Amino acid sequence: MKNSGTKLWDFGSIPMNEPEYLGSILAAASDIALVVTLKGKVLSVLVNDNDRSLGNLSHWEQRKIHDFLTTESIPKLEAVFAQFASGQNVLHPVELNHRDNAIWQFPVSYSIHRLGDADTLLMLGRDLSSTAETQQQLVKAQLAIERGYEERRDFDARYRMLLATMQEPVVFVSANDGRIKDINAAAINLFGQNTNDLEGSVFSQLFKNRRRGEFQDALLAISSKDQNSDMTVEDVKLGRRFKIKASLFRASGERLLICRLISENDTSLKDDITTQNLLSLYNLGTDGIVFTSANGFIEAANEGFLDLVNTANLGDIKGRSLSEFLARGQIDLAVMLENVTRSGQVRVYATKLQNAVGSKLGVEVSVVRLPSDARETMAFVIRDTNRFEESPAPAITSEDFSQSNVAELVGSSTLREIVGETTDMIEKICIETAIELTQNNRAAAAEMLGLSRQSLYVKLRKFDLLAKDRPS
Amino acid sequence: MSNLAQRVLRELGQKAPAEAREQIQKTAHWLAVTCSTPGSYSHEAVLKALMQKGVSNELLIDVCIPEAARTLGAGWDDNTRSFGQVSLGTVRLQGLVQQLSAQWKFTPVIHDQQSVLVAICGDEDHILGPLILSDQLRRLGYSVKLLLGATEKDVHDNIETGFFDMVMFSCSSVVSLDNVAKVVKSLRQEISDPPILLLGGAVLGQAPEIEKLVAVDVIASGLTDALEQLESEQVVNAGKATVSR
Repeated sequence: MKNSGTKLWDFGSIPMNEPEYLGSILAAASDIALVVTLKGKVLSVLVNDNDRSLGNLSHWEQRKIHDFLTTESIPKLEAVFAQFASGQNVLHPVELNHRDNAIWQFPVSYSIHRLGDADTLLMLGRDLSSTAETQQQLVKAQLAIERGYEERRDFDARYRMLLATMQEPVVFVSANDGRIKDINAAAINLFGQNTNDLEGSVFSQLFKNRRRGEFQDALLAISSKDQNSDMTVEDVKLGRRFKIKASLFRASGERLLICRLISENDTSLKDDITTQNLLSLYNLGTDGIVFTSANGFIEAANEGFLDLVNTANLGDIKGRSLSEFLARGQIDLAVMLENVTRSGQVRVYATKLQNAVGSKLGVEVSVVRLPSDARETMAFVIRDTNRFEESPAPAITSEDFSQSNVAELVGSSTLREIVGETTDMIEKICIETAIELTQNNRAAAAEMLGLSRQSLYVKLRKFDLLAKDRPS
Repeated sequence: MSNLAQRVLRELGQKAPAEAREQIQKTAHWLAVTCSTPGSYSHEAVLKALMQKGVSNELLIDVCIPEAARTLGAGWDDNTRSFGQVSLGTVRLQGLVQQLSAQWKFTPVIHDQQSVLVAICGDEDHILGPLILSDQLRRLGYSVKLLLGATEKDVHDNIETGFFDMVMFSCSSVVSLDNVAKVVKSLRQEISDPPILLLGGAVLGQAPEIEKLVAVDVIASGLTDALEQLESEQVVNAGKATVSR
């Protein structure tokens, strides 16, 4: 037996063996030993006497080994046969999955060697059943975990549904650090902030003149009294007064307070319908809504925007410049901010959003400057135009194209002429678009196109666009 | 000429971002190597590293993890990865999907929410596909129950006591197809108006004329294919007739 052309041992270093003893040695050295032809016919099967799990495989003899392999293993073995047939050796182990009846499968790792006869191979196999069993144990453990997740989802759905539909504002607060653990939709609407902003924040900060420790003590005090005990608070934003009733409970060893917010008079806690609708639009709308500072740093964004930029949490983008998510970066942002500062709003600015992995998405952006005594805020509404474009305007098919005037060009002009004219046309369209996007800001348009202002003027003159782009 | 220029610009604009595809491929390869390397490993550390690479949970579940699983499978096919490495890697990928799916976003939709029973029958140990399918369906707004290691009785009981618009059977091999065929046959015999029955999974490429082996309403090669078929008039009509329980 040779391995890569090198003798495994020198002649005479071990005594010569009779063939009947060699079989026993091979069977003992491996879990399963097969002698097969290059066409796959099994000439001999030897199974290690100490490994009874494989059973008696003598019925494999004189049959094709393919009959005892799973579908995905057959091409692997065929490749090995082809390699040996071309005179090469296979030095790496080859793992195959055997099957011997409808259910029973077992993986074996073979080292495969050419025998003296050029068309015969010796396959020495290590039974990997124990690895397969370990894998199945792992899968079973995962199945058990998944069943646990299913039960949790079932319970979670009921809990979330309850929180989403109940009209009374409810906040779960950690009794240890006074931070909000969970909050229902009614309470989110009441405080007018994002769920992400509220969860994890200190509950007492939502109210006027309340220090965390003192506030926490007061909540614990009323929770230990009878159910009618409450404390009166005033919210920071709008100065509305209401009562808090608190109950203390334990969950997984942690002490939690469930705090119900009750209006001092029935109407004060109920926002007007427009406010509630706007909040619902912000929370549920598919268009992205982003609030930024005057210089474009993100202060808040809804789920719609997070979806557009494939980001899981507001925390990941808060404080970053909106330009990081615009395909043309600072140019886009500067154009929009300049125009909104000048005229108070920007309508339907077409650009592309890009997410962290570089995927780009066509969007239309409208911007409004929100008047405020304290500080200026910009509101961006961002709409995905890819979806919009897909339905009403089907892509040009080759059939459409053949019917268009363009098809008539082919044959009437040379390719060089067509390409030259098309390039001019593309240049013109791009320049017109840049001028339109920047609302006739030539410096910004030149930057957007990667041209100097001088070059832009030359091209504007070339395409007779100087008169057209002059502001009226 | 203008049409030609517009077409050129439109096609340039619609060209898939090559850099994004490259990033996904790199991430999937990194994931395959990380998950199949013996030694210390933690889902948290892997998820943190993926987050730093800028991969969203959705992209991870929908693209990177299936691609990593395919890489592992291809490694076994070309003898560069052992059965043990592939098993280890697959189990870890499954764990990642479970961990990510546990962070599901509940949307309180009361009306028009279709419900799906995803069933994996018998001792099927390929659960990565069904885990991903369930997560994708949940994100699409379906109410999903995932039934693993399902027996005939489990599927019966769930259909009788639940209110499912469809049952999706996931099957990875011809061997386990037999289990699905038995369950489907008994559902047809014992439940007068069963929901739409659908078959999918790796088994589809392994046997010819599968529709003759399992009496399901729809055979689909993937989620998109399944939903397209289910939305087609024929199946919608069949569905209306069968789910009116």
